Amino acid sequence: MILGRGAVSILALVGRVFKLHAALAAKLRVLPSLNLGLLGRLTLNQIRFTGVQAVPLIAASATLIGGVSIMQTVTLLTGVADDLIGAILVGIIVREIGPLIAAAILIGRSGTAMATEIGSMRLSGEMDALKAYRIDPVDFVILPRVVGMVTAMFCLVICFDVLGVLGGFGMVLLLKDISVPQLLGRVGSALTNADLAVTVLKAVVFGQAVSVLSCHYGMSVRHSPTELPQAVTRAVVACMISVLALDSAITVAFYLL
Amino acid sequence: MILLEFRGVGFDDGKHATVQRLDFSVGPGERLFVFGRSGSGKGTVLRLAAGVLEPDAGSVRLSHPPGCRLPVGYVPKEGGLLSNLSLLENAVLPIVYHGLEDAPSARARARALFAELGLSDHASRRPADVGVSARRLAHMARAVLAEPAVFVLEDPLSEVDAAAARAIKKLIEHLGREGRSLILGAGTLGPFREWEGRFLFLRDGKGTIFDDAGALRSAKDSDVKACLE
Repeated sequence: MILGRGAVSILALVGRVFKLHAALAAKLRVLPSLNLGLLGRLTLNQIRFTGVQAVPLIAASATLIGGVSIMQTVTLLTGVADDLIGAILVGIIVREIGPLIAAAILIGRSGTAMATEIGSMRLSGEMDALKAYRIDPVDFVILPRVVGMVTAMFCLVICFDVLGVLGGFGMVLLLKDISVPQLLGRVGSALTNADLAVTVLKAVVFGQAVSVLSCHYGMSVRHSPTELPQAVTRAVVACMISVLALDSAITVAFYLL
Repeated sequence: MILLEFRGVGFDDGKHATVQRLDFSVGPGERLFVFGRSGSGKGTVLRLAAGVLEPDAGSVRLSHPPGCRLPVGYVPKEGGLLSNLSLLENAVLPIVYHGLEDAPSARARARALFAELGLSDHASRRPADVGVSARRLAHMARAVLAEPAVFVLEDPLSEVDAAAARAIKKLIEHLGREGRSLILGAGTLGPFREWEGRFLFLRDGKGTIFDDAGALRSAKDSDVKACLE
């Protein structure tokens, strides 16, 4: 069967991303031999930029989206039993919206920054100097960013889930004749280990996909500054598509299980 | 003993100037001056020597003898310092990364060297916040602290102010007295023509070796003479 040019380039991209994953896995195997103090500082910096500095944006988005989603649901499903409100809150926010919105924020805020920074490092000769001094970009540049982004994504998704549910909580209390203990009880009984597993799995998988793809596109910049915006745009598109595909795959897998 | 050997080296990636069938070697304590007009391939030869580029043909062999911390200390003409680190952090990065020295001791040595180079006031600044002279001196400090087998310096005196040029020349002379091997690229050999060493003249990527400054001065080639001025 003859593959089209588009299919070939997608397969080539998948191959390159797997190769980068393999290089990262190889670094994890020799982790004790690396300078963990230096890499730890770089990782903490990445967590600060990607995680801590994104908290206000995540908090505002989570509260608003949580509140509005529940308001729409309750309005549309007028006859819905109050017993289902907890399940709706958990199903919409914890399983789906939390990880997806956090990933979208991460792509726009940190994925683009990561691809731009690495691309600029390529153009300004920083990568060349690292190579001359036998400093491997995989463990010095990419590994701290991937570990930092996965850790930050995990924390941001938990933050989004909690605040999103609280936003929904507030809206339910305004719209429905229900007490706080009743609502807490319904959300608590609706929240299962599977829900927590889905949200955690999505956080980790999305964080890894966004960070590896952003690093890959940053590293793809070679010669000219005009490549930089193109690489960043490609990184955003690839990250969005990957996150949506992975989200569907995980949701379907848990549905079938 | 050979520290760096180019054997039949060719390179053409469409971006850098090409080089063709280059053969030369650098031993301990030797100095090789690479010169030629703009676009002749000097930068490509130096990047190949530093291991930044891989040759398309032939081989570049770089030794890492005992007593040297790293194979190469590389000073590019532009860029090369990490923009998110201070000049001091950049200078100690290779030795701290490779665990060759603990960070406090490396920083203390770097501060002493920065003071010698008149760079103390800029130590905590980032590359974008200082001029080209301070950046070049920080590059030199990074290379010196790495105690490499071979120094690869790409036009180290270009675009720097007089004080920085003096400090860099003094440092290079000191490295020479210490018996360090050095490859230095320059568009013109004016500042270096009295120095001892071998000379590699490049034209359109092809090289001609002059074994000493006398052979260079007696060359008839007008392009070679132009580079001596």
